[in-house]
Amino acid sequence: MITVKNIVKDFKNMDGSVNHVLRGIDYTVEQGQKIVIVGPSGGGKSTFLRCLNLLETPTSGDIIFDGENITDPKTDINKVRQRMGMVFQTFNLFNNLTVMENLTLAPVKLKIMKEEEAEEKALNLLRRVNLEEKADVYPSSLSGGQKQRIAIVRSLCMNPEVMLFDEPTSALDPEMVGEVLDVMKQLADDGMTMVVVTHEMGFAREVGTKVLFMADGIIMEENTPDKFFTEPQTPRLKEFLSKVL
Amino acid sequence: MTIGEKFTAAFIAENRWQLYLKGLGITIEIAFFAAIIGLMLGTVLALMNLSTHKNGKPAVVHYLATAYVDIIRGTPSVLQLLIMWFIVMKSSNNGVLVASLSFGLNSAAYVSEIVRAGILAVDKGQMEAGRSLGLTKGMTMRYVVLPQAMKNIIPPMGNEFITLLKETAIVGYVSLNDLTRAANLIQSRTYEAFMPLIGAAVIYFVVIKALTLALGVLERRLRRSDNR
Amino acid sequence: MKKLLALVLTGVLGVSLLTACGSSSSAPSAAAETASTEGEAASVEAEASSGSALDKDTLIIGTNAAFPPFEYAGDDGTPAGFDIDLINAIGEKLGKKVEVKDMEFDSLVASIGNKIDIAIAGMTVTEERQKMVDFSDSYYEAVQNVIVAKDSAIASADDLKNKKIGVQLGTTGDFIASDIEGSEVSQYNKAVDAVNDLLNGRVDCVIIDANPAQEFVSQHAEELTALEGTQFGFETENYAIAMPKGDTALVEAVNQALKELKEDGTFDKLVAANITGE
Repeated sequence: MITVKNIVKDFKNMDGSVNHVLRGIDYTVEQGQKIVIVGPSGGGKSTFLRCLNLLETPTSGDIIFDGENITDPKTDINKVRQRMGMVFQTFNLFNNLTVMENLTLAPVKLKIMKEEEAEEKALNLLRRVNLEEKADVYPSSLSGGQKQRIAIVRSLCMNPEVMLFDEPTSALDPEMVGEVLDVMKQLADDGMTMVVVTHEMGFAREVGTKVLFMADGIIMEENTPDKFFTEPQTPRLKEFLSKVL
Repeated sequence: MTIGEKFTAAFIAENRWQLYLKGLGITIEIAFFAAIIGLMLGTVLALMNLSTHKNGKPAVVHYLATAYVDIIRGTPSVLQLLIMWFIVMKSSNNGVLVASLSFGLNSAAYVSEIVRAGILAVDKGQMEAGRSLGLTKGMTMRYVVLPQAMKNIIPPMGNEFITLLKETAIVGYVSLNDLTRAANLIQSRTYEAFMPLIGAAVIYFVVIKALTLALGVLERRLRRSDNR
Repeated sequence: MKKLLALVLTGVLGVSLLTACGSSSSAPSAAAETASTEGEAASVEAEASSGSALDKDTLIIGTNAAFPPFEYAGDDGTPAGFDIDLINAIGEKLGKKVEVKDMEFDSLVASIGNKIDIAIAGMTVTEERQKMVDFSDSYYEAVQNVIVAKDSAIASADDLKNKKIGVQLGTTGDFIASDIEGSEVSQYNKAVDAVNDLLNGRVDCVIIDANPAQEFVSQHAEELTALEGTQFGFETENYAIAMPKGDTALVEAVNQALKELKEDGTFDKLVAANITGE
């Protein structure tokens, strides 16, 4: 579904030196897979994820989504993004809009749905995450866990074919992590294709189809969840797992 | 002359109070239209300033906007007014129009910096969230970023408008009878400086004080909406 | 929207007017009182020391260097012209140094006695001004001219009614223009700006003293012409030197100097050099 071919991302530092964040990544995400990416910070996980919907433009390499090369400048990236949901570490709900407006803004303004249609869908989804009573409040009155659940719903309102999660629980208080992971598990059970960058090893083991270990700008190791955690191959992964488990 | 006579000469005789009122009217008229021009053009300039190519490099319009701001901020407003009056729009008979335009073009440069700072102060994640949903940059700007930027923009914008209102006091240079000029005019009739100058100063002060209070109310209302 | 705006404006105007009247009648009067007591003290002191600007070594002269050929910015930027030459000659007769300050014409009278000792600026003697200052004997007779475009139909007093008239703020031309029925007067800081706007078509004519009028017209001989004020019924005016009210010693000394300059031919030489251009 998404094929990544040899993508490289360099950042220029202020002093002119170059930081090689991604150093040639090849990978393919198949329909229905739940790919969980773990690894030390600074290893390129988030940058890789953000390249998938071109929030970061790769310095070189190709990304093919559903047969279309989205790194081609002629591609209408907005159309592509409509089919790829993204959830951020810091939620990024629109602060000036109510929950309902957050959910319906994109579907309505992009003329994908009529307003009533979008609102109905939004209400249904809110019900699924038990937040229907929050429809008319502003994000500032919500807890972190509520915000993130609504951010997930916001992406789902666009009927995406794949969902990208960028450390969705890292900014949450510990007692709220569970409620967000529950929603993500539910989504996984429904068959959504997911790419998740996270530090939640339990989630990786339970939900992941494949777990990737990213460090130093490459995918250092890839395995099924069982083997990933029980039979790590590289010393780097062994060291990493010994620290986080 | 006694104080009473001076007061009568400066305000009552020959219905001179009407001159101050008319002058205040002109002052407010110029400042009002200039503020509208400044607000609209300033916002456009700010957006031009912030626009980038797909690869993140500044667009050509960015350089146009910064050049404009540089030039306007680098020259005295009284010269801009004289240039507008005697050169650019020398065939226009509408003094208020020429002055409004001159001050509006001037104010736009300052407004653009205010708007730019206001937009930059909005969390980057808001734009990213909008883009990730497939909204265009323009749509995200319009529905998400600009409404939030307004809160950062209103207070310094109030200051800019107050500055603008006071700066119009130079339109006497091009024979417009604003409030300051009205005071000059009366001084040239009564040969007495105190009453007309202090009188005009008091009127400016009262108007600006009223404006400041109104802006304070607006700001408080906006801040309240933060905690809805 | 318009109505709302009107309402807001009216509100602002109303409030400002009320407070303006209220506070300017109380606050300034307190300040003015101290000012006037200071003034009295000064005049008492002045009387005690036979008080006159004549006691000073240097006389501060105010002018408005935008009124050729009487005064204009000379090649070095400082005021030059007939009035400047005349006051220098007078200063010499009085044995005083003179220092000339360039300022706005409309603030000259108000500045006499505080910022400046004497004003010489092609100033016409009027009753209003005489309330504030004392004048020397007249040293020049002039009449206002009306500068118009060559193809203008303006030729008589009636033609000036309901016209847009450019003048220099606070000058005789300003007063005449303001009294013309239906006139819309544009007051400029400098006469040359008024002439520029006549060329730009923003005003229909410019009323200004005869000599500067000739001067300006000579620079735009193609487009402009100056009409004699007598044609419009303007009265002849007398230019005189303005001095602090009550400083009779100074007035008498200046008049004496003027008289001597006329008798010894200096005055005529200055007229020839500056005005008639011979």
